[in-house]
Amino acid sequence: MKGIIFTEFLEMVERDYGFEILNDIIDNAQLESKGIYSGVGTYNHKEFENLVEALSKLTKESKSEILKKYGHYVFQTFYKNYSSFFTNINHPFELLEHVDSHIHKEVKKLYPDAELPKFETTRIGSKSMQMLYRSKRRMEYLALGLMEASFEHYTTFCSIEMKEENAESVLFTIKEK
Amino acid sequence: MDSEHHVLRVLERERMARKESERILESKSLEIYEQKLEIETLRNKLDKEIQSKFSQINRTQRIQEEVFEAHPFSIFIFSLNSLKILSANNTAVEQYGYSKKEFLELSITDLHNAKEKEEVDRHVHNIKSGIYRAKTWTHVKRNGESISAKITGVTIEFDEEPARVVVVEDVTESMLLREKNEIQQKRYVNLIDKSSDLIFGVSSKGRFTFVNSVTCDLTGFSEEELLSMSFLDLIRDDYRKRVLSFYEFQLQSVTETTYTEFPIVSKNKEVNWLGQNVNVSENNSGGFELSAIARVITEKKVFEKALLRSEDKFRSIIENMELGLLETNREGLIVKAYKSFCKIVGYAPEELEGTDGKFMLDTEAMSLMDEQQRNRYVGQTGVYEIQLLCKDGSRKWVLISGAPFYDQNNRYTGSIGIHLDITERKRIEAELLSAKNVAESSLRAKEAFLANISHEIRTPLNAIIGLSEVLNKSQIDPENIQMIAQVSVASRNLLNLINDLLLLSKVEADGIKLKPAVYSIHEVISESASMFLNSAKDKNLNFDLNLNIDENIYHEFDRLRFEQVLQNLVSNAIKFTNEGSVKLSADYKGSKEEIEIKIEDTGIGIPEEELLTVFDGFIQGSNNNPEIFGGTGLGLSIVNNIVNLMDGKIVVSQLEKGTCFTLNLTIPVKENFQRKPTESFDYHISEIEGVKVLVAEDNLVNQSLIKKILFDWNLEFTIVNNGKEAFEALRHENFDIVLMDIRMPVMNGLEATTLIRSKLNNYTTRIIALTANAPGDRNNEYWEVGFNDVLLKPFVQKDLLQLLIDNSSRNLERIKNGLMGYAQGDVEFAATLRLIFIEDSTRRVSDMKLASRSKKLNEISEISHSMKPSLAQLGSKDLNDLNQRLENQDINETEIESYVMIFELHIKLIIADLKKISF
Repeated sequence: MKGIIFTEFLEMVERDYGFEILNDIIDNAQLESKGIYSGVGTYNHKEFENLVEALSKLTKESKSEILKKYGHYVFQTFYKNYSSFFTNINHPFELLEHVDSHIHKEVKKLYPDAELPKFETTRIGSKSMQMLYRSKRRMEYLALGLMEASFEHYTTFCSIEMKEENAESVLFTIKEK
Repeated sequence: MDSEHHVLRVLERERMARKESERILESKSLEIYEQKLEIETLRNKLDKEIQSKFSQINRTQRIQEEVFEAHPFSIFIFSLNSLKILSANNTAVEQYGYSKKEFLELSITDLHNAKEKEEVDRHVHNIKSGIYRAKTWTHVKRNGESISAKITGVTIEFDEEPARVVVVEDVTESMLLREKNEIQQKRYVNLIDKSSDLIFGVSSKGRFTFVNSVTCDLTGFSEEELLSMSFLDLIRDDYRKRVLSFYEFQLQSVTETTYTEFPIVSKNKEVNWLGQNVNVSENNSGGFELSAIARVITEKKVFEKALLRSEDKFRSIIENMELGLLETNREGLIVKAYKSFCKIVGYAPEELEGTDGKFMLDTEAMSLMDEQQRNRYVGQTGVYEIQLLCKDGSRKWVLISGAPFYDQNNRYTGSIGIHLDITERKRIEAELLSAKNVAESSLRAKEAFLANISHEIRTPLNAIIGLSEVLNKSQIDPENIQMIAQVSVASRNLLNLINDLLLLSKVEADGIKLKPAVYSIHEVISESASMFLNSAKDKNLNFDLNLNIDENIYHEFDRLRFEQVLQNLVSNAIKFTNEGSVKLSADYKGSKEEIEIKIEDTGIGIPEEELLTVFDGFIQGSNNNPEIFGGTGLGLSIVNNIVNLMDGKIVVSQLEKGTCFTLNLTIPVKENFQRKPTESFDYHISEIEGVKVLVAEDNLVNQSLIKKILFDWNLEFTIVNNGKEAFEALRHENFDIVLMDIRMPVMNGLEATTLIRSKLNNYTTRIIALTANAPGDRNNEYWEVGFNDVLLKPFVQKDLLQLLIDNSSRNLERIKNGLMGYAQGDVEFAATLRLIFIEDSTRRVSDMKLASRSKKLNEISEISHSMKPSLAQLGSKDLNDLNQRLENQDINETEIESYVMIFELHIKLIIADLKKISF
């Protein structure tokens, strides 16, 4: 898992929960890296799960809640750091379609070893879309947070339904209101 | 403190993270550096490749340019917009006579006449809109000369505007050629028109496509009329169908050229015969067209008709010859049945023509006919007879002469059969044949009858002759002596008559076979002559013997028959001569093989008109009183028959006084013949002293006759009544000699002898057949069953005495002499030889028997050959003959066993005789 996911997560914990909580979850999560992450590095994704777990225990928030929150947070970071991906995109559906066809391709160029989730989109009429999320890591709530953040970004109102297809995929049905 | 600690921890993590990032970045930079180096190398490589591709392209371009420049055809490119010439090869520049610079300033319209400009514009317009038609244009050179240019082109992009590449083919010369051809064509057309033959073309539908003027002249129709007509309209009605199918066939079979003849009718109804050659050719549209050249042959046709008429004449002559004629084709089908043939079989021509005619043949005739048909096919003629089944069911015999015939190319096309009705002739032939059969069978019946009768007559005659002989020797009244002598003479005459009759009938029925052996003719005649001398003396006649032949030359001939001829001729001469002489002479005529014998008398002679018939049977001189001369008249007939058998010739001629018979014979001379020393015998009763005889005879008179003779001779003897009794007698008692009658009741002589030899294993007793059969008739049969000798009935005492002596002492003497000769006089050696022969021949005969069972004729032949020398010394002629036949493999497989058994039997008989000899 790319280092940026870790550094951004720790940023969010520091900002929203303070140094104390930050140090505690790093201690509790028993990390091989001892919590030292570089944005350009690559780390075992287990460490991320441990961090979320540790935070959940400490704060009594659910892991899904934490991941969704993180989605919202990290969307802002993406938008700020990689604005070129957003040029000429005027609608969150377009952005969703853009993830697999452009963004992940670029990521792969830079980090050939990156393991990325799949976003297979299908338009249903002009106002609705289905997206099949596929990943062994099952961080569909992170995806949900990202989506909600993008809707907010484009000031679009959508309802999102989640349905687990199997152990590795979840189907999102998105309808614009 | 607490929060400070937390911050410090964060800071520490941040510092560590920065160091981690620097490390990652450094390794990434290194990676990038290496990739950059790699890219550099790839780019260098790429540069080189590009360069080589460039030079390749340049080369190709140069070649293309060279090809373009050096191409034998003018090539140039012009703009489809401005029509300006944009590029041109050297050929083009030279062809059109411009410099390159000048040429590139031209527009394509400059290459055309001003009046073609519009057409050129239209053409260019068409090309632009994609319509293109190849065309031959007239181009003008710089010097004003024009050329015929056949142009092909393709549209391309040249400097970003549409342009046309054109290739110019100068066809000026071929255009000139075409013009020449047209002139030639005109000449042909002229020729056709001026021809004296009809020349015209006809479509496959029969329409005229062109006609020459002769066609118009002859038919009387104009060219326009003919071209609207069908060719068939001209043909005379009766020929139209035939001609149509003829040409239909030509079209179907695509036969290139044909010739046929037919009459046409002109507009003014004049008939002309045409002989027409027709050629089939394919026209431009793929159909067929006929071109015809025809000539008037009316005159030729008149000649042909005359020829046909004369052919008809000959046909009718043949028809009237009552020879049935039939023509068949190569498949054997009748193509023409002439009236004359139909008359024989009763069928109408149309019932026969087209058929194979086999309904007129039965199976036998069919196979003969098939064979003949095959012969015809290979060119053989043939004459044969068959029976035909006629329409009315009757059968007719015909003599057929068949011959193949050929067409002008010498190909077999069929055959012609000439049938001659020979039914009548056949009927007569059959009648003659059956008459001949009847005659022959009646002749045989006559012979059988005579043979039978003669036996019946001989038996009592035997008694008469024998008893008168006995009487002669007994005490009788002197007055009776004369009467007894007369009985004796009469009975002898009767016997001669019977012998003559028998001989003649035998000659007539089955013929007799000559049995030649080697004798001196001189000697044979001399011996007979002594008898003739006595007869002549009795009549007070002189008998002159005049032999001008060499007594030391030996000939091969049948002595018995030869003597019969002499006896008949001489006794006739004596009989018909009352005073004067009878002369017998023999001379060589040319070589020593040709002998002439003359018998001349001074007798009553033969009238001239009877000279030709004297040799016919049962005819005696008409002026002869039978009462005076007696006889049957058979003598000369027998003579004639025998002489014919000997391939000789006998003629009779009238002398001044008397008759002359001249006999000419050709008899082969036997060179270097070493005669055996003459054995002259004196017979004495003492020689048979002690011989024990068994007589088997059923006739009581003959029994008593023999009894009297044997008693007189003081011999020990037993008389039995038949073969069975003889067999029984021999079973219990030994006899030296058996006199065995052949015809006896209960068991005949043949059966008895067979049993005595095989059942009693008696080979020592000599068995003599007593028979009244004609001399030599069945002797071989007797020999084969094991008889040693034959005595003919009736016999005189002397005959019997000679026979008994021959079969006792003389026989043993002969065998002993043979053995001694073989041993060259050495007695001891002779005795050894006897032993050797007995052992050796016994072994060989058993080998031979073995070989005969498996039919090994070769092996038998070898054994026979090995026995030849000893048998020549010891065996009888019959045995030597049989041995020779075995050696020559003259006996077929089915009979070989029985002949080897006969051989064995006689070897055993010789052995038995050999054992009797004492040295």
